[in-house]
Amino acid sequence: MQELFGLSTDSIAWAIIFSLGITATLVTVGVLRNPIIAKMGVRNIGRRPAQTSLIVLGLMLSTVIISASLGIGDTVYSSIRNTALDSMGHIDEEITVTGGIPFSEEQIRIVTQTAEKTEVDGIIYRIDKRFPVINKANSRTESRMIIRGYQTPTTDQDSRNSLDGFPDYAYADVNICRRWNSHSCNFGSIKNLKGSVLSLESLEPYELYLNRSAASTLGAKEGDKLDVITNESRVEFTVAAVLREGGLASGGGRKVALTRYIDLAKILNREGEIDWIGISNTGGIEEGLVFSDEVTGALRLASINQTVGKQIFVSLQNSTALNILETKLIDPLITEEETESLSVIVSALEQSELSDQFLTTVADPIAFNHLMTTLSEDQSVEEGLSLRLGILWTQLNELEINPIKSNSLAIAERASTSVTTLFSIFGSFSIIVGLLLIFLVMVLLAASRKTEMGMARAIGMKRSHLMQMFVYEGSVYALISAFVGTVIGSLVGIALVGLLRQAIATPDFVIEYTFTFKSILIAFGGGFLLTVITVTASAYRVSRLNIVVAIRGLNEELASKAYVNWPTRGKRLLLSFILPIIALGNIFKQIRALQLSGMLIALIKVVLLPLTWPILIMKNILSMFFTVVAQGWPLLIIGPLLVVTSIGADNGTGFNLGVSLVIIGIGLLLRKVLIFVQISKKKTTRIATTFEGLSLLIFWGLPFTLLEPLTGKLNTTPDIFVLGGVTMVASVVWVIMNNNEVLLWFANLTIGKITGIQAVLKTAIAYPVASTFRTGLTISMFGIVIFTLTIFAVLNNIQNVAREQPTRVTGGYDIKADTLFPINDFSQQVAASSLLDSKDFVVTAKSKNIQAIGREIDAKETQFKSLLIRSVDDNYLKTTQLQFSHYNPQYGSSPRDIWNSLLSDPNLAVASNSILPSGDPFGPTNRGFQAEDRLPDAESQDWELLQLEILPEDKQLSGESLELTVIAVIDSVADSLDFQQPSYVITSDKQSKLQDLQEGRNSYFIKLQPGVNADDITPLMETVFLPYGLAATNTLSQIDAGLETQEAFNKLFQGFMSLGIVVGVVAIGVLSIRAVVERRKIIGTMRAIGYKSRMIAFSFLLEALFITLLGVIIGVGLGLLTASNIFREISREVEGVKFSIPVLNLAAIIFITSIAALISSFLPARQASKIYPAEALRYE
Amino acid sequence: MAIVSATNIHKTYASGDLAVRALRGVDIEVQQGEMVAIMGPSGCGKTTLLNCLSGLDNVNDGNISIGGKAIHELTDDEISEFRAKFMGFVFQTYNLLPVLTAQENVELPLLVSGVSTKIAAKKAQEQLELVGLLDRANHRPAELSGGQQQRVAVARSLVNTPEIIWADEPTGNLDSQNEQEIMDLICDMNKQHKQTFVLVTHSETVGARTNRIIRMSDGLIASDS
Ligand SMILES: Nc1ncnc2c1ncn2[C@@H]1O[C@H](COP(=O)(O)OP(=O)(O)O)[C@@H](O)[C@H]1O
Ligand SMILES: [Mg+2]
Repeated sequence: MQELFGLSTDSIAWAIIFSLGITATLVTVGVLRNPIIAKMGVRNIGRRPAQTSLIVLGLMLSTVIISASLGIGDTVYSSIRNTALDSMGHIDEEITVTGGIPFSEEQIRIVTQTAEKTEVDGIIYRIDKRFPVINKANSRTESRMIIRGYQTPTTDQDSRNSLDGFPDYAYADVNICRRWNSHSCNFGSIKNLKGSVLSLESLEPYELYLNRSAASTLGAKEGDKLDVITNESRVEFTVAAVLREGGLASGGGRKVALTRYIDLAKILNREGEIDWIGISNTGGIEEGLVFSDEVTGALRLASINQTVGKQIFVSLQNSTALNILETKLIDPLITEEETESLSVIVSALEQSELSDQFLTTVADPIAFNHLMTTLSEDQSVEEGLSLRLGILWTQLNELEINPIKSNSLAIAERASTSVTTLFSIFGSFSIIVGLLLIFLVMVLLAASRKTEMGMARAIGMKRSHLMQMFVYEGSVYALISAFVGTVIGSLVGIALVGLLRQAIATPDFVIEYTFTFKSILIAFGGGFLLTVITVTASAYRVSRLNIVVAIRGLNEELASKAYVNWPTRGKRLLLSFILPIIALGNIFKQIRALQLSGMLIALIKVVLLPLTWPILIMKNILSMFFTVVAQGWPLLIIGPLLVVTSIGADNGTGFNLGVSLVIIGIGLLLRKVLIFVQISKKKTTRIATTFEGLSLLIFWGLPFTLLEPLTGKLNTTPDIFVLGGVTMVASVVWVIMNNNEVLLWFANLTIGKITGIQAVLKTAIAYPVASTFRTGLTISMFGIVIFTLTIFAVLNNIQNVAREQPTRVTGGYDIKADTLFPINDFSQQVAASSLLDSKDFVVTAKSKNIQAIGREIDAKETQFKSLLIRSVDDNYLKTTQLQFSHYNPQYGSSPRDIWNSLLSDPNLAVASNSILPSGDPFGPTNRGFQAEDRLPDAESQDWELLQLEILPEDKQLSGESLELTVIAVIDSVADSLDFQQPSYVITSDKQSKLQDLQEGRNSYFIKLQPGVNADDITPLMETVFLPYGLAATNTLSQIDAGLETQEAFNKLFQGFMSLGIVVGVVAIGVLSIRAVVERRKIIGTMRAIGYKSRMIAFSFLLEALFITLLGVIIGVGLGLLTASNIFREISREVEGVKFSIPVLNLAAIIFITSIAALISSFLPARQASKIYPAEALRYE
Repeated sequence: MAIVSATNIHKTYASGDLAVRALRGVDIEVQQGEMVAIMGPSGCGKTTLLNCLSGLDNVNDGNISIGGKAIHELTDDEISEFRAKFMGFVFQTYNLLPVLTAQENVELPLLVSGVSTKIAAKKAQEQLELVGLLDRANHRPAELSGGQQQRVAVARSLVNTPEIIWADEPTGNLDSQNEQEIMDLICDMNKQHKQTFVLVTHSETVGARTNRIIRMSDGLIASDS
């Protein structure tokens, strides 16, 4: 994994190493300076092993979560990367001709000559085709085996002569075998199952190698005879070996056979033709990657049509493009990739010089896409420029040069980054909660040292010494827990990867747990640093603990900071500016005093200046600034500014933050006003906090779209849920904690109804209500975690539409069968076959799938984007039960009416839901065709007609397009199981422009007689239609399989997020243990008053339950609220989804959490009940 | 009639290797309605005696019976219930629950014996009025002075009209003014309701206001007058 939160993991790792170094230095200096303090701090650790392990448990959970999510990210990265490297072997680039036609002699010459001049050490040629194949030994079949004929050109004259049929100009003076030892000669080793190295050269005529997947389907072994079925005849091949995965033998899950070029060329009557060229860069499988750009660029430069390139350059020069691109380059939101490609174009335009760099950049489809998007985003671009450029580009290069290896690794990178980001976002809830727990643990630890610390202060210890003592002790805990946490986190990671494997692993996509050293370092170091920072922060607060206040009233757990007046603050700020002078002066002072340790410390302070100076200045500026902000009015300026700029920048997160700042600003101002009009401090606080909390809650809890009429549609990203969740939970807790009555009311409403336990109840409620800080913290922990779990549970429930209403996915067909070759007389063949019975086939509908590109007529976007045409027969239009999310009422009011309209007018079409922009921030991005300015809108199903211009792949050279009118959009459930939902249109096959297209892949949709099992029919169909390469699937089981994958993913996330519950439960345990210690004497008193020992235990359990339930209920409530908002978004796109609360699931969450909390407080409660009254009463 | 009678009680604390013989054969009888002061030097075993007699602590040897019930024959739960109904406690350090208001503190013994919340609140208020703190009913202990806290504690000990009230140095933390007020209260109760009081005290002035003073020394009763 290379990136995390947009930062490279390398720099994160270095930053961590650097910070660890500084921490170590600081600690060493501190210890050297005052070893006794260090000793006193560390001495505490060994004294109470039970307490120490509890603290470590509490401190490690954040590290566990970080370590687990990094491990998963690494695993995803290395799995995709290894699969990619494995399947590509030595091949770094692949070259094909646009339109799938063979290379011309000229094109091959360009490739070979360029290869000789650049960093290429091997070329391999290929033709391939899919064939149905039968294993004669056992009659097992595979309907669509890919057979690839390979030829590596050698400079060896003998073998050159022996290969007739292979064009002479294809020889190149590059050869892997010359530079690499023989085993890598064949673009990565080809090995049989036993591991012996084989080569393509050793194949005899009409022999082939099978990859493992092909061999297992055919049940084939070495020596078996296979019949390969071609259009005209059957050709017998012999299996020379079954190959291991890797290199040329990898098929990415497909069944592949390797054979000699010449044999396959002869069968296909295509001697001398080449479909595909593979290039190996100089160096091994991974080393070659560095030359990827160079080789790709050289090949592109050599193969492009220079005249067209010049035309593109001139078109750009004669337009406002340069201005637009220059503006884009200073856009702060520009990506690195965009900058890279656009700056080349800009510098060429600026210098009016058609450079090679310009040409190779424009020839790169990704870079060209950046160019076109940038141009189309800008209003000032000339009419027709994009169209002209688009057409020119299709003529720029007939070769498609694709750096597949570096592209796949980039995909691996992106996938792992997004997985890790997803885990980090969901994990960040738990990490925050974990940090709260650390704070809680440290504060409680300090509370238990209250007397000790008071005594230390009394005998003249300084506040800073106390803090240091605490930090030393905490650092040791942090070190242990970071270590333990990393180890346990990797175990959790292994368990979660197990779930991931269940969800997505296939035989070709092997998922193996990986945890790189870099990630271990980040998890350990990051966890340690986060913990140490939290420990230091709590130590700072603790050292300020006003002992008198703490003893007198329990409420004041953390005393407020002493007030520093303005002049002092100003003086400090001024002093911080001249810190270097002070530090240098200090050295001289120490030298004069001849103090060696003092000199050393002064020196280290100077060395650390670059770090400490800015921090100190920042801190002092902030402290100046803080009191100003606390008056409220600055926020009333910053907030609205943020709101306005965010609306301008289309940024939903910024908008919400801005409004929140305004609310807080008003709250702060309100305080000043209330105090001014002489309202008591207590009342003021209550009014202001209640206002702030409730306003924030209402604002964040509003449906996302409620403010859209005012703000327009704003862009939202998933992080808004993290922010919203934390804000809402914090707001509720904020309100509750400042309005104790709410708690009492809640308690009376719930457990208060139980009669006969009033005495127990009194204390069980009074204590948590009194200790606002602890209780608020713990409630927040549970609230935040349960919040995410609830949203997840509700959203998972929604996805089950596919299971409840399967016809919305299947269209009412039981079987979907895809063919490789067209079947002209499907029904007759069924009738003629002895295996199939025509009577079982109630409906047979057919669809031709035509690759095409399309664009909207009269739209701003003029680029064609990929858009599949499904041209369907009348049977399909008459019987399909797919439904629509939007339709034009002019064509009817029911799905049937719409389909019938297509039946009567072949110029009409319906489109897939993926042409609409998705409002779901978690959804995948669609790179295919998308309609412009259409919002998914639940309230209205009305669809304004959409005119499309579509260019089928076959006709891209001739440019002959067809026009279709889209009258409806299919509902999104239909494609909900496709993760990458392609854009497509369905139209009648009577459409005249589609008649003369080459018949390609067809799909058949079959409805069976009721009672006939689709699983019985599919294998029979595959056998009967073997020569056509037919693959049949049971649509219902396909839905099940899709849902299973989704559910496995859901389980993975739920499992991951439940780690947060563990944190909360540990917090409850820690609180209970502490409470028992603190209340010893009170327990004695209660026993004297007449409480039975059982009642004492009961009271503690009730207390734990009360806090837990409160957090859980807040979490469930806010979760349901947010989930219903998300649901509202989804329901605009998916018609007919029902919002149902997963009662069982939520009940289970509540139940499990409560039970876990009870269990964790059980031991402390029992301990409390065992306290002996006479002894407890003596306890001070 | 003797409400408390104890014969030959022994109590030994195991403190490390050392055994501290806190009570070494104490015989004592307290009559219904009596007001007894237990006095003696620090560490002589006064608190221990009080805890043993009230069943908060158990003895190593000897018999104690209260209201005719032999304490050692009762289970822990039964003793707790017995304490809830028959006894009240006042401590030197007041021992109020800091998170409860004065009134709630006073309600507790009633709630423990299963009195309904309404009646408990009413009785607690009456009791607070009796000790002169009705206006402070909704204050937390931290908001009360030491003397006020101790009066709340007295109210708590009296609220369920116990037969016997144990008080371990009830005025030990108070100035003489407050000491006087607390003692006035206790004496009133003793006179009006014939409730039995057993007080541990250092103060001769407190001792002087009781009917009977038992002096202890070194785990034994030295004098009884
Ligand atoms: N839990 C205990 N463990 C050991 N020794 C104890 C314990 N409690 C009291 N003692 C000892 O028992 C003796 C009597 O104590 P106590 O009854 O508190 O005396 P008093 O109340 O008269 O001051 C003292 O010597 C004291 O140190
Ligand atoms: Mg004592």
